[in-house]
Amino acid sequence: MRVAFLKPDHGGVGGFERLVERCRARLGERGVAVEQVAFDARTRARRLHGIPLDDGTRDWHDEYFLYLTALERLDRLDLSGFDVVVASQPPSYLARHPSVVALTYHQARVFYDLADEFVAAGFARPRVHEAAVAQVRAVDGDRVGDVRTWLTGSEEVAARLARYWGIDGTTPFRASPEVLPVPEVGELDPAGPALCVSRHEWPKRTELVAQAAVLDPGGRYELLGGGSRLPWVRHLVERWAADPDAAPAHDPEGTWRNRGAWQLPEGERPAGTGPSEHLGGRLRIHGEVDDAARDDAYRRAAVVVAPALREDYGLTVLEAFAHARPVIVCDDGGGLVELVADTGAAVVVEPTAQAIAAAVAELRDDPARLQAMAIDALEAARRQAATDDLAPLVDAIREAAGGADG
Amino acid sequence: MADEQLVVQVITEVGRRARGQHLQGISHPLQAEARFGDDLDVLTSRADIAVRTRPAQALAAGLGTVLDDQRAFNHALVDALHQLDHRAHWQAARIAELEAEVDDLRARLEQPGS
Repeated sequence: MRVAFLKPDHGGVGGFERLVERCRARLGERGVAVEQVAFDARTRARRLHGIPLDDGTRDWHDEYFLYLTALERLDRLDLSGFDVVVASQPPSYLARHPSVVALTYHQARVFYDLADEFVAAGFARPRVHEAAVAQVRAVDGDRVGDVRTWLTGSEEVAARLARYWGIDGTTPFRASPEVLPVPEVGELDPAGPALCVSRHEWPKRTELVAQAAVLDPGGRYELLGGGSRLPWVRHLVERWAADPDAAPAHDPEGTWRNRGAWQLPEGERPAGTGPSEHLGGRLRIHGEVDDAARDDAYRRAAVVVAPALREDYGLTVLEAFAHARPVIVCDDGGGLVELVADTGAAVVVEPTAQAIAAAVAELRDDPARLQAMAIDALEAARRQAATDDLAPLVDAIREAAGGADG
Repeated sequence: MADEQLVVQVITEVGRRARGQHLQGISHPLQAEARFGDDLDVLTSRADIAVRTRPAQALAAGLGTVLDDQRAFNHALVDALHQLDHRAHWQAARIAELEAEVDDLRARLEQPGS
């Protein structure tokens, strides 16, 4: 039996490849051949379905044209030699194949649950986005009914599939973090940094953590991760450092609900890579780091802040728990809120820098509570590690193949 | 820079074509697509595009609109498919499907009150 794992190639290598490797090992024992099949999802096309696209047209809605370009490339793949196709990111679940198992963490969200936020942030004109949303939903709607099995990364994702596509009865699939739980809580410094591990992309809202650092003069903060909005985060911090009274007044439109550094003249955009220190060393922005540096930051941290909006899943929460670190999430955090529910290891706050700063300060001033939450975090990580996270996927593949592999 | 109305038209047309009006399973994508694209250019450009094929000439003369309607596009698609290299003749089933689609559309358009 041959199984294809479909991957839209956005240029990065990460969790998906490692998941494929784990499945390859697991299914290989049963004589199932697992192959990764990638298709280009980042190169802009000069022509789409016969229509020439110049830069001027494409700039009106890059995401839309890229999405349909990726779909056109997906349709050119010959998948006939595979018994089962495992789809992942959009639009791979639109593959034309009789046995598609969709491992879904998100739809093309700017055309669904983030459609209004996308316009509010200024990424596209309302009329243009309305047309794009209508077309993507029509294109997707024609095909999603052909998917055999939907595996969903969170209740948040399952609810979106039900809401937009009328798909019920999805199967939960909760991937493990690639970090094993530490043996014990170990040393936990209540005055240690509040850590945010996230790519700086819209709408991860890392801006809120930087803003919290300004509002919480007794705290230390660290931000780990690269991303297109990193220059914008640095720009905000520089502005707030120069005028601390300005920080509390910044609303979502001034912080995360906007086009980020694209609003700035080209010569005035701060660096998009490398580390920097701000606020007299209280805020450290590391940029992209390797896994070892990331794990070291978790060990240094007192608490981990995950401020994203309606997240699909929340690996950073699982990683924090594996390092026995409590987390702070926002009440509109979607999958993040699900992951921390009933763990006793998290504080859920409203999505403002003020609320995040207050929660960080509260835990810093209450070492006993912090310690108890760290114990609960580690316990949650151990429970997660004890589950066979691959089982739903392996079962779905076997079922889709008609049990041919025994 | 295109104006907003034209962009909305392009977005709508590209989406419409993505919903099943493109070639499926082309085995020689570069050759077939290049030729097919030439035909479609005629239908989707405002003016001053070289008309290279007989069906395209006929369509351009007869329609002349930007981003033609469903009926015109389906006619063009069938015509373009019929011109494909003989190595793509295994597309016969797809051609027949599109022809049936055109016939159906024609019948509906010819109904009184349509």
